[in-house]
Amino acid sequence: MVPESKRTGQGSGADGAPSGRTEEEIVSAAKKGDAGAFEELVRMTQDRLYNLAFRMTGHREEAEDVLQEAYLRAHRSLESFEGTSQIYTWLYRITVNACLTRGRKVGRRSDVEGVSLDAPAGTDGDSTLAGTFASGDGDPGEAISRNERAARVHEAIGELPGEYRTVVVLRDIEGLSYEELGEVTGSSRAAIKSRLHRARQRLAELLGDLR
Amino acid sequence: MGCEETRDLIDELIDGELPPEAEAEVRAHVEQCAECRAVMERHSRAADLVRGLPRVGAPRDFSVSVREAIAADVGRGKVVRPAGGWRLPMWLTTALPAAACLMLAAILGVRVMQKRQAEGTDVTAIAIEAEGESASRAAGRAVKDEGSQPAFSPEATEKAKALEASRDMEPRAAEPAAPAVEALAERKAARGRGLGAARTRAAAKRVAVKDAEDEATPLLQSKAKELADKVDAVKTEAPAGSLPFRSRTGEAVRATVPPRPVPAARPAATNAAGGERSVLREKPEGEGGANYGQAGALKKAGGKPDAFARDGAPAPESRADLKALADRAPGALAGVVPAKPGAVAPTKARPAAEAAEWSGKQREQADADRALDAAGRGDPGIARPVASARAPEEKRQIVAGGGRAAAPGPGFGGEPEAQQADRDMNADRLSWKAIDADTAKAEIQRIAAQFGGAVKWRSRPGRPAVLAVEVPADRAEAFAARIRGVQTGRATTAARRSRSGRGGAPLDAEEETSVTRDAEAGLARAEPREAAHAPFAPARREEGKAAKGGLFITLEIDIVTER
Repeated sequence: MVPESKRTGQGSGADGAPSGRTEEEIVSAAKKGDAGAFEELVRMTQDRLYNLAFRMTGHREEAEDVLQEAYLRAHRSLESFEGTSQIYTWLYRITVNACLTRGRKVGRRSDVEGVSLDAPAGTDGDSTLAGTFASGDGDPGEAISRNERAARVHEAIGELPGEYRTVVVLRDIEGLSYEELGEVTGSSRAAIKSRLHRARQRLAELLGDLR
Repeated sequence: MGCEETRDLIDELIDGELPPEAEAEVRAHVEQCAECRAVMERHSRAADLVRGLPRVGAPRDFSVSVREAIAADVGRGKVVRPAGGWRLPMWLTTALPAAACLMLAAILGVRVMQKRQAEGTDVTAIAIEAEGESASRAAGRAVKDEGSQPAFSPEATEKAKALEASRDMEPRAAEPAAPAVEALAERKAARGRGLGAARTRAAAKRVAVKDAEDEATPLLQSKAKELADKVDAVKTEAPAGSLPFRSRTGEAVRATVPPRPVPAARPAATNAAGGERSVLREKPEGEGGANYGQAGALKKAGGKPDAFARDGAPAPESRADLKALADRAPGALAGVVPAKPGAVAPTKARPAAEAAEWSGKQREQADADRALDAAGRGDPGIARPVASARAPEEKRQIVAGGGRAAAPGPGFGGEPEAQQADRDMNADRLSWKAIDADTAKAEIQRIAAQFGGAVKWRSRPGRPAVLAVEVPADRAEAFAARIRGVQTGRATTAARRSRSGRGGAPLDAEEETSVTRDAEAGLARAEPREAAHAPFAPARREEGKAAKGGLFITLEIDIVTER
């Protein structure tokens, strides 16, 4: 369930091409003050973290702001990263905290983004409804239905309290294990289980009519 | 496995986080239980819906915006990243400049102090200048400079203290000099501006102020002398023993007016009160013995206080009279504050130098009085020198209670008991040696309660520890004996411990007898008195106070702390 690329991340150069450095080498270089290495680290992790931020905040612009703030925090405190955990776990923690902090500052956002032609239409993140219509691939009606369902689920996630939303997104979207969930949130396994149980119970209530 | 336990594990089953054996158990239960199966289906459906959400990638130029944001962040100084691959810790980037500033300030401060000392000034002078060169403080420095004495010589310090006390007591006396000093300073500053380009303006001002102070010193001294004369004149006019005030320092207690020579033939009431130097006071109606007020202290039942009546001056019978007296002779109230807060607006403290001089005069007068007393009564013992540094009239006072002009209780109205007790108290000031002043006060208070007394007042924190205890007159001697006895006993114990601690031989029989006799002497004196009276429980003491029929003596006990 966990993306394999997360485990064996390969960096990319300034031009986006793979640099050939491993995740550890990139992190080590970034810790030594190599700006290029840090930028490489950003490019390597930004999509996954952006998806997390988007599901946590419910808005693209807000997700960009939050993720940029998270990368700034990471850059300032990169010295404190000791490498005992995955760099992803560390960045997830910073991003989640940034999302929760921002959520407390701006208040609960229930007006999550609805159906949009630019909204992602597939699980790859690259296809959109507009692209689906233009290419003629697939059934447009099914695409709309799928997009509506995704919007409903997205909205339902936004209805969850921050703690429940965090475990649902990290577990069901990002695919983290219970152990990794505990590292990111700093909570016990029992707490993780309890939150996940309640979150799914609530989602089932909200999405009971979806088939 | 029950339903509740199963439902707790359903999500782990969905996520594949259960161990194989537990998974088998849960699955077995779910297949049998419809409700648990429904729960698992709902949760599984919700998880599938979330997992089916499309992933959203970051904008293409997102890394560029992050890079720019980081560059701006570094530009704001939040991150210091040297090109060499290392960077300073954040705390160090703040601490280093701060430490540099502190070191610079310290070096500059040391250089300035060295320069000042080379110029013949001292740290005090620097502080004075820093405070804006107030006239009286500057005068203190002028005194130091005047005699060309060392910066911290005792003489200079005493002079400075005296002038400082003068400032505290009578600010109006110093204030007129301030404009003069400032005017002189301005003139000198104008002169100083021509001292040359090498000298800064601040240095010129400093020199000008110093010169002005030198010129102002005679003016201040003359003012101080004038003030002292005025105070003396007022004191001469004021009735002796008039105001039962307590000084701010807690030392110069009782009458602030010097006692007059004792007339050969005294009024009966005065003699009955145990001597002229004792201040007669009455407990006002409705107030406890330990908390009588100012106005009540000035009243005497059935007449005016003897002290006023003797001098022929109108005796203040009320607070208004007291204020009138204060207005007419403000110097008489100088250096004292009311015995009870709020009784009369306190005036400034008496100058230290004047107080010292005053104390000397008072002591001389007291000795003369005592000699006269001894001669008149044929009591040679009373004329022996008093070891105490305080005049005897400052040691205690007799308080007449009950609003009766005639002495109602034992030892009053010509009774030898009170007078004898009074003299005994005069002869040897009570003291209490202790390690801790608070403990000593508590112990004295306990003993006083045994004798039907109570703590009347205690010195303020930071002052020489003195405790005033008010005890019934007929038990005052016993109380004093007890205090002395306890102290002697302690001294004996200390002597024993001392010898034992040094590893020396224990006390022999003669020494033991001697110290034991000394230790028990005080107690022995107290015992007959105690035997003559029933134990004076606190409840009875309250009863006695309510009746207001007793004569009370206030004893002051010096608490000497030994560390």
